[in-house]
Amino acid sequence: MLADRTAVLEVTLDQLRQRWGTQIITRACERAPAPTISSGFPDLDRLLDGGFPVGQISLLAGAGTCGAGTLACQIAAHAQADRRPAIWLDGQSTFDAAHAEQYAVSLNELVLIQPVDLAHALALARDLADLLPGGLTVLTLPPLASGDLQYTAQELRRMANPLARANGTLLICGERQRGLSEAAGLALQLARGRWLARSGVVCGYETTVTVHKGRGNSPGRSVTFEIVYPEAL
Amino acid sequence: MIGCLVIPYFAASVTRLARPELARTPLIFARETTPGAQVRAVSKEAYHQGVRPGQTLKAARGLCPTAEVLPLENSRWRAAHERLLDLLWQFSDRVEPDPDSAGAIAAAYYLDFGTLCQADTLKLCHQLQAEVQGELGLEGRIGLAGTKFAAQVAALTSRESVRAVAVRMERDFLASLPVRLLALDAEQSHRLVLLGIHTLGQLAALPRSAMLAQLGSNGPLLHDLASGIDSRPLVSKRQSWQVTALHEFEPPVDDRHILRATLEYLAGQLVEHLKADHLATRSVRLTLSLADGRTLADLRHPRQPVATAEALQKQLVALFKKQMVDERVSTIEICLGSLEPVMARQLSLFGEEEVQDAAAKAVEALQARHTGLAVYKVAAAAEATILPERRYRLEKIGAA
Repeated sequence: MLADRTAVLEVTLDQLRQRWGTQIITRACERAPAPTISSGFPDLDRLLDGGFPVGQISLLAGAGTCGAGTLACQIAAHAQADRRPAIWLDGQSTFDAAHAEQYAVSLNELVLIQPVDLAHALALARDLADLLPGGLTVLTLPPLASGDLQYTAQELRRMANPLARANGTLLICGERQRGLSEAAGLALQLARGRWLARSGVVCGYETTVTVHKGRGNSPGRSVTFEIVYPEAL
Repeated sequence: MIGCLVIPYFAASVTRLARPELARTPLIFARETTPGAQVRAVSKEAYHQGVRPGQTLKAARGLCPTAEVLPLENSRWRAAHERLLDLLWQFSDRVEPDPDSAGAIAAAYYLDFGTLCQADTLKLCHQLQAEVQGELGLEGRIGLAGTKFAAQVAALTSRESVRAVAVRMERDFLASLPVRLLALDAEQSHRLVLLGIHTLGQLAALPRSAMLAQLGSNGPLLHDLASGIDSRPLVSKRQSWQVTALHEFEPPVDDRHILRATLEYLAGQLVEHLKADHLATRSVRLTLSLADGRTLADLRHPRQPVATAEALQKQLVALFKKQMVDERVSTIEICLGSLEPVMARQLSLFGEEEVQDAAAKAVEALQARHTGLAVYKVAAAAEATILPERRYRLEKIGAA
């Protein structure tokens, strides 16, 4: 009975492929995995099933020196390595070219935009969701007042569909995660752990990344890895 | 037909290949040696003493005091797994490692032999079993049947090296076998004991509709498996194009010059492999196993495909420098993935320029929508300075 069903299915698939081409129909189990951008940290990539999802909004939240900037640089570097255009919306006015280059970001290929304020930054991000197909936009959010949260979340929700259509990726770095994670496809909370020292000199720190929201990633799962300053190597 | 190759006590068998002096010693593998650490894999001798993966080391030592506790040897086991997969792909282009087995007690691999007749499949399986033993030194048993579950049960319960179950006879074959061959949780096992069900045949005789209520959400699947029906597809793990090189230090070393020289030597070996197949790599992984059992691993995706020893050495040295190596190194493993054919390429004709074009178009459109938009490119500053932040300046681009 099962064999008959399988045979009928195979014949139907063959007929469809002959008529419309081999790519017209695919078994769910044979589908290629969703594209991701590596974070450069193998443990985090494993936690995220390959890396940061393309076509979605990802949120990196944490207090200063939690590793979000470094992680964003690494993701930008890997996106560039995958031949994805990268644009950095520097809403915090803290972009550090030396730091970015140390983490292998190709500065020649990176475009830096300095928005005037939060509304301007979100408007640019929304436009880039359409205008930068297959690309990566990194948005560093300025500190948000409580009144800004709802507006920001609403704007992010409006970007989700254009991003998915254009296969673009929006990576948001900010201090607050509450109120924004529901608008993001993937929300991660970063927390700095102990400092690392070599010969009495601080050469990096440990960071713990916890998944707050993510399709296929159980909330609450976390991973800890070391961020070593490149100049300490 | 589906074939299932089972390697009993995979982890212990692979470790004993490298350390034959442990051939008769019961082995327990755990990440740490603290009493509360969890047992991850065991040898046959330890298993017969009642030691199981998941027990605490304290409990395991109580059951088998003569056992030797060893740290996990993930890189060695992974290398053996990869070699085994390479061999299996010579026999079938559809191979699926069983993720549930994972080598803690036995490792299982499914092979799809398609419509090959049973006689030819049997011959092939005998040849496969001989090659697994001859080339890899591992003792394996193979079960052949029309379904994955029946093939696995045939391999697990067989005393012969290859056992075949005739197609459409799976239900009869399974009928007399115990229900514990199904992956049951404690609650399901208890429920079946209460119901007086001890064999797969007894389970198959029950109405399928009752299974959901009696055994939970996977009850119907368990009923199907017991009845010789297994609709789970064989999900072939595509042959990953990767090359690995491994070097073990005996005793472990902490001299960075030796480690770096070893990296360069391994890079040379790997590049020879790549050259032989006209391939270049787009991902370089370095794994260092330390003497205290920890493993440090990192991955790089070079901007351009790497095919020369110098370029690979540069990637490896960067990866090595990034690691906080504070203990002696016992094993270095390099894995090159995302291999692709070496293509002649005219520089700057494709690639970066396309990427820059896409970004430039987006910026142009943005500037049309947002007047006075401040868009910059980062450029190197003219004068040399020791302060890193002064080595760059922002250059405004496009219409302001």
